[in-house]
Amino acid sequence: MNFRRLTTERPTFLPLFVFCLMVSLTGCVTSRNSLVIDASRPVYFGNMAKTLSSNSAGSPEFVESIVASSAHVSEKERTYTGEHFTLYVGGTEVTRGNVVYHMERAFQGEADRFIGDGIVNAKIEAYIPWYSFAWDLLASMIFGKTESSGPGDVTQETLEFEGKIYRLTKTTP
Amino acid sequence: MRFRSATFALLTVMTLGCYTGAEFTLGAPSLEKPVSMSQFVHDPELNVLGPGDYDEVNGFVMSFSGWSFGWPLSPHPEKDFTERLNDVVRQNDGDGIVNLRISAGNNPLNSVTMFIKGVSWFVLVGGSLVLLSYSPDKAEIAPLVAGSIVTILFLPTGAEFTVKGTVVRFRKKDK
Repeated sequence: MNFRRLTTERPTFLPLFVFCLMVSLTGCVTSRNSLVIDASRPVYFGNMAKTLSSNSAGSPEFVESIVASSAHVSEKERTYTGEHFTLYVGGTEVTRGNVVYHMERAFQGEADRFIGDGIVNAKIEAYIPWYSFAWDLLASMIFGKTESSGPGDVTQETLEFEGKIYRLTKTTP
Repeated sequence: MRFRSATFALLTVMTLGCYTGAEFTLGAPSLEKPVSMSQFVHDPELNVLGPGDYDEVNGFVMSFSGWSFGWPLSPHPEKDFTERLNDVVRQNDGDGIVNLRISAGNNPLNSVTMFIKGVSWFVLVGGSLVLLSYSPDKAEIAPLVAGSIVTILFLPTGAEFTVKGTVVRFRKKDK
């Protein structure tokens, strides 16, 4: 088997080449996956402790009260206060709508597993597969849309949310 | 010789099995004002403020783009939104940001990446078959196969991000 002959004389690679070209031309179809957090508490992007500390000039101990607060809660609460957790958004099974569900559950459901006043240090991990718009093209042909809008939508962009639940303790003057 | 080729092909498949896409970490570690992804935010006195407790000053939309190697072992770039978020709050004389929304999607230029990687995949599969055979073209094929592996692993993949939010100003509470 001669490789050069295989690529030039045999017609095998020509349709594949054309296929690659056609798929690559679908770049105009780009889906987007959004992270929408419908929580009933503050969910801070970035370093909340530093942010609120600079925002409240009169109470520099404020940061310490956040950090130290986990020592003043019950044993059960202490187990979960400050725990890192991760939510996966997007992909073919879990979409934006599930984030809302998970966030609500994290705060209010499951027998108060997470007892906190909010989330700090939220970070987002975005994952974009290189073949995602080919997938999105297929999804748009089947489902007729290119933007994820709720559970069941098909998209390949994945967003991962990471945060830290905190508990505030007001410093009494 | 055949054992070596089979090992090479196996390693190729295993390597490509680990192959994924672009990955980024999005964060803002040094914000000056509270930036909340929900509609609730704290004021400096630690009161939780909801939609009725602040005025929405201005909505904003920012777009970012980035490139990263589509391989899990390669370092993932970090996108720091700190300065741009701080600027938005300062320009609007706001007290914070609520309803921060982040969306991620493909860069349209990935179509070029898609094309090059697609061709590389076919070269890799076809070339590996030749390497596994008794063909005399092995010396000619090996660099092509190696090149296709490098291309597939290290050709960068692009991503585009949109950040939306609303700048708010806290209402003064009557005492």
